[in-house]
Amino acid sequence: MPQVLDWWRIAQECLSDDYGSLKRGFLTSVWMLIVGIERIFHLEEMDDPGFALLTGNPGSCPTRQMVGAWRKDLLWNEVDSFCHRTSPWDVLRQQDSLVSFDEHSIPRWTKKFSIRKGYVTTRNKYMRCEKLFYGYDVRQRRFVTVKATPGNVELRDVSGLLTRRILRFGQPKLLHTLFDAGAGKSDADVRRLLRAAEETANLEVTLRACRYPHRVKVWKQLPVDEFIAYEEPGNCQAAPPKEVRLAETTTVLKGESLEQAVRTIVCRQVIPGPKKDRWHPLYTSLDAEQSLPREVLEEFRQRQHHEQSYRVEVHDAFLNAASCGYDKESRDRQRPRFCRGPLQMIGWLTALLYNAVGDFAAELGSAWEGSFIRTVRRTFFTRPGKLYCTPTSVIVYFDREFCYQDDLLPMIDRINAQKHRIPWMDNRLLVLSVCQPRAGP
Amino acid sequence: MAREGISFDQWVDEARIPRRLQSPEHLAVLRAAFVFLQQAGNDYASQRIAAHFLLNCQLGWKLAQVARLVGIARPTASRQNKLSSRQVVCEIQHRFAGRPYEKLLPRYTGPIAQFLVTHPQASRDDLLDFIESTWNVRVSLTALHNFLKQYGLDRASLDQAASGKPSHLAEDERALIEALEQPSAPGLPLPRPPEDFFLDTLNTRVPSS
Repeated sequence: MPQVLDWWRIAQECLSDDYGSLKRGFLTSVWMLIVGIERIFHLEEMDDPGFALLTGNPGSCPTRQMVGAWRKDLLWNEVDSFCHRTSPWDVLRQQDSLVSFDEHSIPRWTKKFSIRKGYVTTRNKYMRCEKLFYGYDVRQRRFVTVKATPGNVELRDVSGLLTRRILRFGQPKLLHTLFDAGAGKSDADVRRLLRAAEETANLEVTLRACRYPHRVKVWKQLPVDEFIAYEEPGNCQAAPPKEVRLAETTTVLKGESLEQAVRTIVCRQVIPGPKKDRWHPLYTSLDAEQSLPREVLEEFRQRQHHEQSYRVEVHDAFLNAASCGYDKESRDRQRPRFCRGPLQMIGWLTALLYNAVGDFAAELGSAWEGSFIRTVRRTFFTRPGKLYCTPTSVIVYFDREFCYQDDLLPMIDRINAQKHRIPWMDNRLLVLSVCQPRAGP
Repeated sequence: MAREGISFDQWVDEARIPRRLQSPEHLAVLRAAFVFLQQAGNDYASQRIAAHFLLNCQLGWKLAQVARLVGIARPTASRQNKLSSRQVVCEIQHRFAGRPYEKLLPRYTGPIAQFLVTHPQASRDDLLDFIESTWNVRVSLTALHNFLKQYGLDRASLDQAASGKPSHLAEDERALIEALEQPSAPGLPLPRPPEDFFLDTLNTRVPSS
């Protein structure tokens, strides 16, 4: 709740309210994600007085028409402002940050509107989609920035923009950015990123190289003695260890000389049996004195947390149900306008929820750190309880004892001590309360 | 104060008890108190018990004299005066627990609100007993008053909240309990919730069939 109050305060300052639907639309969009309402049309079945109170009108639950209309009219510049002001820049400030940039494609199945196509990795096909590009701090495990685009925009188109944004607003002491292969499809893209790293004192870049056949052929021809073999634990306890061989070489980009060659870490994962080995080449601006090949590989592997966060967002926070970016009221359905506001707003609210749940789990203790949204929601958020509205306060009483209730007590005491007031409930004081656990077995 | 190594006469002299309050009857009681303090020790509980007895035995000693006898300050003795034996024992217990009274935490509001809603006629003593039985804490009436007022659970606030709108079974727990306690009237339909309880009727177009 304290985070929602902050977001609401910022939303009031950033978003216009021409139709008087800001309060209901914004609060419903936030609380839907928190309590786990998957789709906007599920609001039709809602008749919960608690949800009605949370969303700003104790008289009735919100309707999908009103919430949908509010989302549709969100302006991109106002949403950008909201995203910027709610970004957790403090996790980057004066830190040695490791930030991954990657895209998430949201497939669209519209036949009526001809929207731009892009490659959807999970479906392994080229189809109509819209994309959300996120910056993710892989050390703190928090989303730090977002940008919504049509489906034909690629990571290489926004990589420079997102990097500059992080440097400008996050002000890290050292920023090490990680990109997937989409950021360096052409040698010119790779050079642009590496040039930015050369020109900026506190920026380093590592990106996975595209496995073009002519490059792979060169890497495969590297002498065997240049590879250093490492053993890594297998998939499970009984599995044999994995063998990884690392070599360091340089790659001459197209149209460049040998002096401009890029440092390349070639990682060869040996697959036992008849299967082919896997090759993971990395371009990096870090020189050999700054980090060994193994260290570069270890840091790049942290990017997997970013991919994992997308899975969590999709399955636990319903990211793929984000509002459409194309304008359904365009006069020409063959060329509908792209409205960044609704898509980016819902995408960023999902990321904010991810961050807030991360903070919540971290405060609960080390046993809960890294818990998924769904786990925390099932354990702590969707609990039966009673609401008592007095003239001065709103008392939320969890009247049935639940598992891990004791873990929550320090947080409840902290929130109560902070004396949060809820603006949309006549500024009443928020008080959280739990029942007394039964004594004995 | 009955220090070790001090005689009974010295103890009485140091307390500056006037001669008229040193009759054989007075001295017998004082000797018993002296032996008690010598035997039980000079801890807080013994001093409180001895002071409480000397103040309430109706032998005419002044507050300051009793304070000097048991070794406490005059204002402290004044504060401890006119308390019941039960309150003295409670204060001793709380003193050992770290404070004279326990603290009411904000997270206790839920059960307290539920108790007040389900027991509208409950007195403050009933509420104190409920708090003590639930959380095993004893709080002062002042603390309870401030707590209830802060969270809008005092009688005036509850009455104001109740009078603001007519109660309905679907919304008001108290009304529901009252209705359940009433004998059911055969043939009467169940009351319908107010119209604003239901969602608006859908106005989207549906395929005609």
